[in-house]
Amino acid sequence: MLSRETSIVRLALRNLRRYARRSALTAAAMIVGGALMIFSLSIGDGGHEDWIKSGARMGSGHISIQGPGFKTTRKIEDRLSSAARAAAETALQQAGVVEHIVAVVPQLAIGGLASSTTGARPAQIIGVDPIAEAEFSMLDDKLVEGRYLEPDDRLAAYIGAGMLEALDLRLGSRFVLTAQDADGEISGQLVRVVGVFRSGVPEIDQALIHMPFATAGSWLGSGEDVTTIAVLVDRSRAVPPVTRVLRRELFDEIETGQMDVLTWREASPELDAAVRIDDLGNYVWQGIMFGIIALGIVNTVLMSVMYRKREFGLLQALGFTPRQTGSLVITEGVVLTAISGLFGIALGLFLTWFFFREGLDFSFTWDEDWSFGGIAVDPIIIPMFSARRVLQSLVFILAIGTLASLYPAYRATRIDVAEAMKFER
Amino acid sequence: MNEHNAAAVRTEEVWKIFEQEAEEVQAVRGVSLTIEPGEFTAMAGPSGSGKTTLLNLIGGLTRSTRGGVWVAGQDLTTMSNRNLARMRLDQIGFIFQAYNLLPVLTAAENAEFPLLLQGVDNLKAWRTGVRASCRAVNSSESRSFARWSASRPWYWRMSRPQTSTPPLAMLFSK
Repeated sequence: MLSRETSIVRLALRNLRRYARRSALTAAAMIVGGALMIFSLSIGDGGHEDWIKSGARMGSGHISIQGPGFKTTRKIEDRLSSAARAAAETALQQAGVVEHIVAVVPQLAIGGLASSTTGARPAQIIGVDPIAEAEFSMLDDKLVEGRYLEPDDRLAAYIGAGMLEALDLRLGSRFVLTAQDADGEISGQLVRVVGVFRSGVPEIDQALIHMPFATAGSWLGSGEDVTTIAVLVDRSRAVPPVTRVLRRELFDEIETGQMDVLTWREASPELDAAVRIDDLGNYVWQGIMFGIIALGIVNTVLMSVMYRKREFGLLQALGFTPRQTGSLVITEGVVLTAISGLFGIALGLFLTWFFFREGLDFSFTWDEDWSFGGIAVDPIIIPMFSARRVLQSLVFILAIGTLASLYPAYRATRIDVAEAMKFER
Repeated sequence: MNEHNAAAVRTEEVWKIFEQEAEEVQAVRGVSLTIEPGEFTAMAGPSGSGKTTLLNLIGGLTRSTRGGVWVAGQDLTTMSNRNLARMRLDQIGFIFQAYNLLPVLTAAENAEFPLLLQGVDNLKAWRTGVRASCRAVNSSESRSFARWSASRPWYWRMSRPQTSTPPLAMLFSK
């Protein structure tokens, strides 16, 4: 038996069951759409997570704590003061931060010049703690010759293959680094090539040099000071909350111009733009797909309303208001899209997990050396699943179902009851 | 109580004109009538003479082109669609020419549907009655409308208007 509160929902469910073939056709479109949506979002998010991780580990982390002007000047005079560094290290131990941290590395990064007997090239010189940096960075994995820096190294340099070729260097060759020191003087440092890397990003391979932190500090007269504290967190989605806590904890230092806390989006605007553009492309594609699906739903539901004109007329003759009639049509649309959307999402999750959990290999379309936005793009994309995406997809599908039912519902409310009662199908 | 309020149904010079492509069809032309509470009235006339259209006007299923229609003192010509629906639910019982049952409801649910819309809280007593009635006609209340209407169309056409609170007007078109 029916009850008053649930009568519209029950009527809607029974109507969907009665017109099973029509319901199945509409549901099939929504199931395919929902599955494709989850697949593309999981793959897209997985790819972006990989890009972000790659960008963070090649540069200054997911979050970097720097002197306020350092991002633009790259000068040693914009380094963090020892008091600011101490405050930052304390903030990094706070709840809400520490549990997300994978690695924290101090860096002394400056722009300078690398010269050999053959010529000179602009260089991005980073003084690093060899052990901590090896944990943090991907560069040690990109070794093609020699070795990465070791704790006992003093005059060692780990350089890119592009720089090696441009300066006509070899493993063991000596060359000179020149940069402005802490006193504002131009100062040089002789180093020897101990290892060569090839990151796949030409800009990095031609400019980046890692050298021991102690050597860099002594050369530039900055002692233990750093220009950047690079922070790697467990996943990119943890960046906003961790940044919020850090900014709250370091409020005084930030307000007094002692430091900035930058997310990877702020530190790497090219990568941020690449992720946003790719997301936008994904959303446009989904918009077109669901636009077509919505038109299909409008057509099916509208045909259903026309076919059931007499039924709607009867409902109104018995006391259904036009609004209740419209609600019934919308309920049918929403219930159908919600159920089929859930099935579609479940199917999409299952298929993506079952077939592609080890990664979707795109190496047939691009090779390992493809790069953009300062990162090397891995051709194997591992999908990333998140409850947030499932919820977003469900809300989107429900919105499509509701929107697609609005016009048919409007038509149902405008039915001439007496005419509809005469209607013979 | 004025004249309109006293009558169960009253029409005054009511017209219903359908605009067709080439010409207009005057389905109801200036009908004035008064039906008192408790009165049984029958209309007779040839097919196409406007009997059903007049019943539709009285039942609030269609609006008059001109003239007035009052049911229980309420002017149907100025009522909103929502209020017309409410009036049809609360004050008018229809017995249609066709079965006009809702195909997705069982026989018993079809019969109790107006009660649901009226928001009757306790349907227990009514449901006991349904079961008794079903036994009386040797069938089951959970049977689909199709089987019911095939076997007992007249019974079910009558049952629905009688389930709601006593109507002010019971309209029957044959």
